[in-house]
Amino acid sequence: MTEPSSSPTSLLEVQRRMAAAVMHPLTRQENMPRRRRDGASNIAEAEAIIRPNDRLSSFERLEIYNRQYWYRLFSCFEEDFPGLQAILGRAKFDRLMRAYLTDCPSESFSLRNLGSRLDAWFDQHPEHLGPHPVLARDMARLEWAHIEAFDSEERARLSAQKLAAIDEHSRLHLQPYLRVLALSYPVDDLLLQVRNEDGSATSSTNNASSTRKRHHVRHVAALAPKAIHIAVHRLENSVWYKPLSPEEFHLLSALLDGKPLGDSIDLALSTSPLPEDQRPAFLQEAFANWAMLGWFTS
Amino acid sequence: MPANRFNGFTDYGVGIGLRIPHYQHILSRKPVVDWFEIISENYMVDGGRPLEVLDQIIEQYKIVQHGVSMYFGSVDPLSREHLKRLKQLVRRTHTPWLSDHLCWGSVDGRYTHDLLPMPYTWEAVEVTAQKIRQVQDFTEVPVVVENVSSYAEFHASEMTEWEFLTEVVERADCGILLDVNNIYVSSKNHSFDPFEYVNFVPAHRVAQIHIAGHSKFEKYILDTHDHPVLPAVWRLYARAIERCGPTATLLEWDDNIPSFEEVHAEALKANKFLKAAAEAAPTRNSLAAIQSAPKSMLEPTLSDSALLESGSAR
Amino acid sequence: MKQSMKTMMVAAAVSGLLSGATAMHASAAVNSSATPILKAGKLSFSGSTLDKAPKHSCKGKNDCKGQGGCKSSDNGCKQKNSCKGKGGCATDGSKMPD
Ligand SMILES: [Fe+2]
Repeated sequence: MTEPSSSPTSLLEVQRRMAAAVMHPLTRQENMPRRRRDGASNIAEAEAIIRPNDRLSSFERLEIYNRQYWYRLFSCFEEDFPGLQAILGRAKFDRLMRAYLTDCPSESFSLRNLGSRLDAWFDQHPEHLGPHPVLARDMARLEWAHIEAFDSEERARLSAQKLAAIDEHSRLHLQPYLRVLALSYPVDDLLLQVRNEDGSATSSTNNASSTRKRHHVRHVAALAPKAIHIAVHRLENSVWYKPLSPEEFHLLSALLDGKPLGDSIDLALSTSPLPEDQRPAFLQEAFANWAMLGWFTS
Repeated sequence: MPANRFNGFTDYGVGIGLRIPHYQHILSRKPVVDWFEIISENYMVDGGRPLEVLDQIIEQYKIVQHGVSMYFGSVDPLSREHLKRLKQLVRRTHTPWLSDHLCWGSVDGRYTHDLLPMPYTWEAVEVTAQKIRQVQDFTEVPVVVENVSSYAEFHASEMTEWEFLTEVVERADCGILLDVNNIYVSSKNHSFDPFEYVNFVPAHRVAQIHIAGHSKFEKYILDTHDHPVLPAVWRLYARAIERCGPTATLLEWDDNIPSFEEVHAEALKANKFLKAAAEAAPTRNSLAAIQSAPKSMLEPTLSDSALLESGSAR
Repeated sequence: MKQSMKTMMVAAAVSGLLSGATAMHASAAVNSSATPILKAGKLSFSGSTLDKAPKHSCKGKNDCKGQGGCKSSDNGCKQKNSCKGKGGCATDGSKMPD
């Protein structure tokens, strides 16, 4: 028997109670659960808020919105993290989406930011990283960096005047779209493979998609750990993955942290095996490349 | 109305929603299109390709902004960040008006990203009208509100949807984006006469009309924007145009998006009705628009009539 | 690090910065992006066209279409799971007009 709930008396109460139902996880069969995790009855809640009609009960009408909420979020999240899905496989990825989006519902007006808290959330939920946790985490980081690089601001390049004034105490500003990552697996190549396979399937039949999944599984199983450093950046409005040496990575990280040029160089080279006589040439080339890519801004 | 203070006294004709799969076609072929509607939120970013493409489109076409997450009906206060970004985009596009939905979708800072229906109460009228005014004051462009498709009704409602819409726009003194597909979808889901809705709304406030396709399920219709416009929706459109005059019209197609030509051709079917309405304008001959439309566009399909009776077919 | 060494390193970095910035301006002036692209790394979406390059697929993130009810109606660019055939989500079997 369902105990009746009292009807909401204000607009705010309608919205809070309906949102609680709509944003509550679906069952494994993708239905609205009859009882919520806190024991509350969704049937009673639906009846208290929603009118039935001659075809659908209050519960069934509310269920349309419950499903709609999750399907929209799932399709957005899947689109943002195809590499992570390839690594985890469908079932584990579904469980991860459900858990993450339950814990971290959107707090932004745009779905663009849906995955913004995923990396931090993994600290608390390593169980969702699957059998290759380091690989999965690396991929999630790369995929989020890609989203950030895709549409973050591009500032004006350093002016000649400001360039002329640079010394060891200068703090250099880098483009907001630039992200640098130190990873344990070459996930950049894996992601390119996944994307190309997804993108090349123009008519994705079930057969084609299961073939792709088998490819993914093989790629993942064959992927050996290999420390890499990359810059995820944007050029001519496309996102690029630029391999970095460890020294380049440490140097860029220090500059991004706001450290002065001289200190950044010290930090980057303090543990480097690079012979001293080769260091000036290394620095000259690295800074020349980065300036050419437009990474320094005023 | 063709041109009024709610659409910045423009007379825009027939447009389509700007969608990514058509970018290449539009930029390389430069097809003649009266105007494009953009989803504001997809361009409220700081840089990159979305804005690069938008700038190229702006150079060559008229653009109108359509939002999906301002949630005029949410009790939550408006987000400063959202408003600020929206205004930045308004400055970029020079949109003559700005639309979003008569719905809610966020509470306590959490977003559902859905267009949730309003309980049609007097409290909701107040909340919604006040927020529309705030957006209008902040962005300094006319704001028009769109009726949504809905799948549920509230016990709390104190009036019909069309009465609610009218009360809100009168109090906010704003325009209406009349989505005739949404009216049709809701009329089937809630068993009301869609013509009663179209006949009731204050025609002088209608700034724009939306048309779209939907999907039928056994017990309800879903507003999927993934089909051509159905005959029953064209009939409603004809009536709306007859009441409002030749109004800026936009076809929404968001899923299973066909070629640019196909989408544009579907939208341009509206011209038959607009032409008839323009010709009938001096006398507003009540049947002119409907009579001059091609018969095939207006004939009910089997599925239409099945649905009309589906109220009892559980 | 000795101060003389440090000064030399900073000088190398600054001279690189200046030469890179000059090269960038030069390539911008002749409207050629060849030089930066050589240094950019791997293009994230190879063979990309304008339609494919933005984001990852063909959708804008935010939209106002209905998406619920049934998995079969929820289909963007990608093939989604098929309809589970549960109550409230079966189609009525009618075909939409073309
Ligand atoms: Fe609409």
